Amino acid sequence: MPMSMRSQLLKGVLEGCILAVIERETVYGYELSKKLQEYQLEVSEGSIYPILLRLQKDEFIYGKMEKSPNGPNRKYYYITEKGQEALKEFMHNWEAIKTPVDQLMRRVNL
Amino acid sequence: MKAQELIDLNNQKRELLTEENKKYYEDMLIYLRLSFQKSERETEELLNELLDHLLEAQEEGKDVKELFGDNPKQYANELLGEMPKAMTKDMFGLFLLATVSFFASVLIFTGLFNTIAYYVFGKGNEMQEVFLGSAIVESIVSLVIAFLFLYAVISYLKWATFKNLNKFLDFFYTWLIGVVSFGIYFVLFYFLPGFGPRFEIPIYTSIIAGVLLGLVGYGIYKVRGKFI
Repeated sequence: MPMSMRSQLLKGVLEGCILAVIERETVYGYELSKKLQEYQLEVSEGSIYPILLRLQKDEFIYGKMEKSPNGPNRKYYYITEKGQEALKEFMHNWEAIKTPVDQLMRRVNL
Repeated sequence: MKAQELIDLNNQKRELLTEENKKYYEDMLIYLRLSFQKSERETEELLNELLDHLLEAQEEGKDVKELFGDNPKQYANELLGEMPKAMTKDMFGLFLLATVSFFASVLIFTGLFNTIAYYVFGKGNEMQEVFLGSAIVESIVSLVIAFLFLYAVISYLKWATFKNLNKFLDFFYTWLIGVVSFGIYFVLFYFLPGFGPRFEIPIYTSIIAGVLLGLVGYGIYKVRGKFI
């Protein structure tokens, strides 16, 4: 698969996953990458930042600098109403595509 | 948090990085900060966030390349591509500040030069001839050249950031940009005749005007800092 296609596909999916994490709880960047790793999503940690920027530009999330319990100021992310809508749409699309893709891939003998 | 507070914080925390991580991070920092079309506060917030993450990763014994990839320039461009543009009023403030500082320094410098030349070394005149028409044209042209010069320097620095240029090449390129800008400046002024109403002012006037303009610039800087 060409690199750009792989990264495009991954970015779209990762966007949905990041929205899903932020919808459940507010997190800061490092914390978010840990959460994704807990779900065995193998992405380089740095790749979350361009996505976080894009989600902010689209007004799906917003960041706020706040004091963290153990010291320094951190930028915590919150989901917006628009973000919740986008997450619903992602879930809908994902449900629709998940089963057919799975079935197709199961037939591949490589 | 204001941009300036974030910058101070960044300066403190950066000292905790290992040498290799620091080099990589600082290249990225220079590159992102030189992208002046982006909102200053957003840039500083992002830099702060990346630094925090890098510090945590460092504690875990991870390499900076594992975090941000092997190609820092590509990663930085990816980040920049997703960042909002600075608001027009922020850009206007920056433009105003640069313009005022430029004229303030030119006035103070030429005023000091003429005053010292006359009163200390007995060269030149006590009074200075000013032609209003050509003075206005010269001001506009020199401002344009100054901005082109600044643009060239910033573009050069961005281009050079992730390259390990040797000292000689680095010096040569910077020298070239300087000589070309100064050359254009010199040629234009040498051949521009004086025109418009003529005034005679004491040579130290431009020092006073420069200092006043400098104070205005400082005011703009302070006010701007409150909003960014």
